[in-house]
Amino acid sequence: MERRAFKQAMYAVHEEESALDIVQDAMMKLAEKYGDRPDDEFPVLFQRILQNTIRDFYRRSKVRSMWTTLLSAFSPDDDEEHDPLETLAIDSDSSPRTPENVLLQAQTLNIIDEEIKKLPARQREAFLMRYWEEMDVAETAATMGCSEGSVKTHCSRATHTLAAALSAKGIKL
Amino acid sequence: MNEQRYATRIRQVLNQGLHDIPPTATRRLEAARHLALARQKQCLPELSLAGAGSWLNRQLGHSGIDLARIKPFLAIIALLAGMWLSFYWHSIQYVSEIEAVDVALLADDLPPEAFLDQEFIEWLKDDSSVE
Repeated sequence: MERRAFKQAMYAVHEEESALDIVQDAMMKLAEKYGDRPDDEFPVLFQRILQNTIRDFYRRSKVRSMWTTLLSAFSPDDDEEHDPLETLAIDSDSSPRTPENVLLQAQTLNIIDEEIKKLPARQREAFLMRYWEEMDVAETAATMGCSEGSVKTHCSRATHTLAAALSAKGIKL
Repeated sequence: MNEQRYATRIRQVLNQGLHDIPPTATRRLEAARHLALARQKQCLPELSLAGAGSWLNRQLGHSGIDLARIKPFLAIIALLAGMWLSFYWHSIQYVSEIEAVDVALLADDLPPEAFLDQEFIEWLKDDSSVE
């Protein structure tokens, strides 16, 4: 469960350290606040907490970047120590293994990973919850706070976008 | 394109990718899981009749009935039983009070002050009390 959550967070924030923090926060919140709930409620509760934690991360980083922009306006030196594109470049760099099919699989996975990252946030959330976490439409809608129709639309658009992007790169699933 | 089938294939690839997560991240995720489990909120003992509650739980557990589902019905039954007991006790008290007055009347054992009490005279004249 935590591995899938980690990947989901990675798709959203593109940074390993932050993704690990998000998953850890979500797990702690689940355990501390909802630890006494029945086991079958855990997956949906965890997804809800995870998505909220990712949104909190976005909000915090938005505020942080606003302050950074404000402060950097006063400082003359233009230091760009951290470039998020660097981490993206590292992620896309696949390490080849010996057997050909494993290599192919790894490349396919990398391309899928990249295409999932490119999806609009709501489409990605819906697609991953519905098809990776295997939640039903109603659970996904409740977690996302939208209608079941919206979930279906998001999932359909995400799947078609992924299919088009993968076939453009010559990948057939 | 069959959306469901295509999504299932993507899921298979994604699941295979879970094995390629860096070991440092995997270790940290495991540590986070252990920490979360250590801090897991435990079920508080319920404020109920402990002995009877646990016995009922065991019995229902053996018979395969989910106690959580029938809890609302049990609560309603307990409420109704409580209301009935309260009503029954009040009615018995009321009857015994009337009985005491009736016995005193029949035995001509009323204190003289009772006949000076206007409300008592009214009550005696009231036909509804006879019915």
